[in-house]
Amino acid sequence: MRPGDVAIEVLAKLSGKPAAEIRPGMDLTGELGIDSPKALQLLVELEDRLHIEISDEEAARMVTVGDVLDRLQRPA
Amino acid sequence: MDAGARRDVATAWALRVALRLLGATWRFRVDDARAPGALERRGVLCFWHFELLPVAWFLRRRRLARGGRVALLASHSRDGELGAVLGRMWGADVARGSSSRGGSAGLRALYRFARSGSLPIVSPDGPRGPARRAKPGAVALAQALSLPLVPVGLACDRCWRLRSWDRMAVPRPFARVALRVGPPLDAAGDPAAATERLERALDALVEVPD
Repeated sequence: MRPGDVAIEVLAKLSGKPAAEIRPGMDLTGELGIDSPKALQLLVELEDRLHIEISDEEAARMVTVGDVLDRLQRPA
Repeated sequence: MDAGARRDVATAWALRVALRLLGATWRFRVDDARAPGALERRGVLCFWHFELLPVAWFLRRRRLARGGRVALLASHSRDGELGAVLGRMWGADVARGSSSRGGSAGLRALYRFARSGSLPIVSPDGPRGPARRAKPGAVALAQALSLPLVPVGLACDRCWRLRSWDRMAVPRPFARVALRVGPPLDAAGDPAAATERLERALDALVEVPD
């Protein structure tokens, strides 16, 4: 599974929205309901499944789904 | 190991010995009348940062020394490094970072330790205050783990108060020291409201002279 697909799958699970409805322009908090506890779960699951490390600065820059996908394009 | 790291290890050893000697004189008890058995159940243990020494002493004696696991968060500051060295000496799982934000790397590490069975402990006003004002990390962690918050507070008849940001409490020799355990709090729902409930619960347990 590609990193972007993993991210969409995790976001779908945490938000309760179908994966097919999740778009890059969506706001993580406002549209997907990713609050602090869910952000914590999102980051842990991405790091563990993709064997990457996301810094606090990178995490803070993740505002939309597209920001998450952009981060996953880069090396760990 | 560089000179700074060697100094931290030496300081941690000195602190460990001093705390052991001082703690041996305390007339210490756990007061869980408000929540019998709460410390034995799963939860996120919370206390104000100024209560750190007696709480650490208790966890060392009553949990780590008996084979239990404890996970703590230590910041990247100099004080945090000292806490991390001391925590590892005691056998605790040490996550490095801050609990200030919901998804911080430190909180992620604490979440992993907790998921693997370690008891997560958080001082929600740490690592730098303001004193007795909870930041959102503890509630975020409890919600992510689906665990309650277990508030713990210090009651002490005679304490020194240090000149640190939190006015850290050091119970004097032979002081009566009680660790008060409050009823576990449901962290679910609005995080800001849960954080306020946690602040009130922690404050209600404190009885320390200024």
